[in-house]
Amino acid sequence: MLVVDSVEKKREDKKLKIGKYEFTSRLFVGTGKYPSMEIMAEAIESSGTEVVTVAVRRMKINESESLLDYIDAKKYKILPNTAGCYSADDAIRVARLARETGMSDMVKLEVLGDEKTLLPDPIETLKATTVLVKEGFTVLVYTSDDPIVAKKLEDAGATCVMPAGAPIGSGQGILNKNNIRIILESAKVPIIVDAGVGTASDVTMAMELGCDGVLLNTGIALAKDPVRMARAMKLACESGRLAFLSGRIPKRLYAKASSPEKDF
Amino acid sequence: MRITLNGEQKECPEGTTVEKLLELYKIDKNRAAVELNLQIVPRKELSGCMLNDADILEVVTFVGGG
Repeated sequence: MLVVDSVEKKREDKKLKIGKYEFTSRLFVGTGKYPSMEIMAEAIESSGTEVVTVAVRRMKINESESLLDYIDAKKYKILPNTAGCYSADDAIRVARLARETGMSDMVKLEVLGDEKTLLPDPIETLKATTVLVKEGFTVLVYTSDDPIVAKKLEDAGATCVMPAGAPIGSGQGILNKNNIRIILESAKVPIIVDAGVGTASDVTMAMELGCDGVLLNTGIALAKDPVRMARAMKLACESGRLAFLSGRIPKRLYAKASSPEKDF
Repeated sequence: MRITLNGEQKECPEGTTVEKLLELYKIDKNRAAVELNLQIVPRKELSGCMLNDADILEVVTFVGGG
């Protein structure tokens, strides 16, 4: 699909490319906090996603039910996260363990500053990015919406930079559109808004701004009807992408009639 | 001999390998990663890796997360 925007630059739709992987869907969905595994599986299906995030935790011995019984690893790309890590060393350890399962060399790197805000620690995040890139991981790095930090993570070799729209699980949407736009302007790697998405319009906004994708979990998992919300998010993601590619009209202060102004 | 598996003390016979221990506890090695005394045991080395008394094993898997 080819369209022409205001500066006559062609906006061509193509698949989302993250390192060596290509995806048609631009929505990444988490697997936490659903009312049941069955609802999670149905919601994931309904979201149309091709990438699902998972967390790495100590296995409960003698527990028969596993998340992996509900996710077809052939159909979905598994994206392990380093959630719960508060230092570069911890996050590196978790990433290495995740890769050793043999299921994925991608990692959603997440190094947080404290438990109250769950905001990313930029210094530890950068340290961990440098190490994991050197070890050959495909690093999708969670960060704040700070354009300078985003650039430094890209320079450190991150395959994809994932700024937060708002704090994790807060459902506040994209709080600083300016920062996201500035990040998009200079980024040469895919930018995926991760965290803070509450409802469909938040996803659309991210995509209209020109983000390459959106990652969300709580907005679907804790909705009253997660399966229906998953579909809403899918449509929102597609709508926002189409609107971005189409090139919106400029905003005007005054009205401009849509119908001919001449009399009969 | 006595080892620690995911924080719990367990008895196991001398000469047990990591792979045998996983089998003993019905752990699917294709869904797990193993750390022995804080060092990752590569998947291909699970069958040849002997356990010793007082070893500490962590076995992790994937759970729901965002």
